[in-house]
Amino acid sequence: MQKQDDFSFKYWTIKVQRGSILKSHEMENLQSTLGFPPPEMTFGNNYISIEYKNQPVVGFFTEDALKMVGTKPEDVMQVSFAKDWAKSRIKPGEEYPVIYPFDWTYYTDYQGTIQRPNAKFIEIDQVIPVQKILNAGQNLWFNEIILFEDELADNGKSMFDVRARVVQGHLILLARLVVRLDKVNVRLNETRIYIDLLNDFLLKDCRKKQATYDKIIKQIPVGGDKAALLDDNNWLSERLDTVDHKIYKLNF
Amino acid sequence: MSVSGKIGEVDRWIEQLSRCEPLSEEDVIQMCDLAKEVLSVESNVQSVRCPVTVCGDIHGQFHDLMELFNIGGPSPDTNYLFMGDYVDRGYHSVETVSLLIAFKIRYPQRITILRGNHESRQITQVYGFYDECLRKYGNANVWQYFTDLFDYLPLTALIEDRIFCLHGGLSPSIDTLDHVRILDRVQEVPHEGPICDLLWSDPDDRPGWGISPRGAGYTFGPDIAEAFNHNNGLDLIARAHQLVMEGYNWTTNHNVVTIFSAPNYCYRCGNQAAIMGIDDHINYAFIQYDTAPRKEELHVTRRTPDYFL
Repeated sequence: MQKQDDFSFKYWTIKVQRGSILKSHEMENLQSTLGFPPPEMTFGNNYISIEYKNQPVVGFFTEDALKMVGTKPEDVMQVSFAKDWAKSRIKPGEEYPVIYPFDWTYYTDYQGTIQRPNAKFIEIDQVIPVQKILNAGQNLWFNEIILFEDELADNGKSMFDVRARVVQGHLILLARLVVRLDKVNVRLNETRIYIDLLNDFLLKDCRKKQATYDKIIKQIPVGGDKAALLDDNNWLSERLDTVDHKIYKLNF
Repeated sequence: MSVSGKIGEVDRWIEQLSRCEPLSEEDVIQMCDLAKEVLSVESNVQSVRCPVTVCGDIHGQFHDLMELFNIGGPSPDTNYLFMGDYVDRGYHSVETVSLLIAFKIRYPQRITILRGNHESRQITQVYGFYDECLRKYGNANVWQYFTDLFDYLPLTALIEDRIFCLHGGLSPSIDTLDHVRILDRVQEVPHEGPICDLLWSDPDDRPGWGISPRGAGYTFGPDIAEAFNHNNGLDLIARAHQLVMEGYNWTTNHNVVTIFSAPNYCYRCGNQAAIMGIDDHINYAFIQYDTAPRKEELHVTRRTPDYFL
């Protein structure tokens, strides 16, 4: 049950596919590929892809995003109470292995998949013309998908979603990963793709943001709905510190 | 106060809650007091007779709970065993958990409600139930009454001495059902220890006990489940706790089945839900069903214009 949607203007086309989470046997196959259990809500058949002259240029795909999740020992995050848990459980002669040591918070540096063999992102100074987009009026087209989401065994949230919209003459896409590990920290990666639909190149703006959990909690207003705010990716994004910001141009 | 003199009152609550209308604060307080009486005499391993229909997570999806009763038959005509996680995530945790508690008071022999890891003070403060209580009652009293009651919910159930039902899974501190029976359950769900494990652990295809990479929580392999079933004369462990696309999912050697009864979980996953019907001869069959969407929930899945930059 996949639904497709697309929008074309001149040489550019944006395509979206969305459906349900993966079936159990698809989850097992993906787990074999990745070497660790996929997120409990893996929308494995969802994607957004941008084409130029009917050839894909760049896209966002669930499996590609998950392939960049860390599996090195230093990638493995721990819940806030892990030390207490371990201390209380150690019995003489009883040592159990950690299954699938991987970053179970599903933090990934994924910034999209280049779909042209010779295309390359080059770092530049040019910025996305925000004012032009604002002036261009209402959306001619909008879509959004989730690539994956996980509740981190009720220790927070990990979610990768992609939104895209077209206004007169411009396309803007925002791919966002939010990893909130309660009582530890919040990390966020934002990748924006911008296209002037009369041009033949695209811009990519990538930001990494983070803050400690305590710092975020302190910004919840008195009487504010804590659970709702901590679940609001826009609210979180505005309250984190930007630790890295790069802009690229893709020539192809 | 005893239940027998309150039947008319409880019937009125059930009628009101079936329309998805929350009870008044006074009614909730009275209901929780009555439920405490009923639940406090139940065992940590509550005995259940066949026929019975076993259900997994509900998570405040009230209209999907109504669909469950449509599919499985109304309470008390059908006997039910719910394996926890009534609250958080969905829009109607208050109405959902109130209705199940009212049924429990009215028909204690026909419905069993176990504790899930979300029936806890700590988890409900993060994942929605606390805020929903504040929104619907204007104060935290109702949340306090519900979470105090949750401490009394039984941890596990045993169907005809053959099928062991619980929310999460096994614990390395528990080899026999008697180990469960002697636990002092009336407390907040602890961060570690056997009660925590019963509500939190997950089956895994890898043999033996494992520790989750998050640094807390166990996984148990097929060999562990097989040994536990053998030692306790069990056919099967039925548990909930994990989302599965088909609503139910067997482990590799069919010792453990996961049942999840919240279709289209969080109003966006597109998954089916399932319940397990067990007949008089302890034959079981799974029934899958889809979500029954309602007006107020449609806006979540409907595309809303968004002017992000």
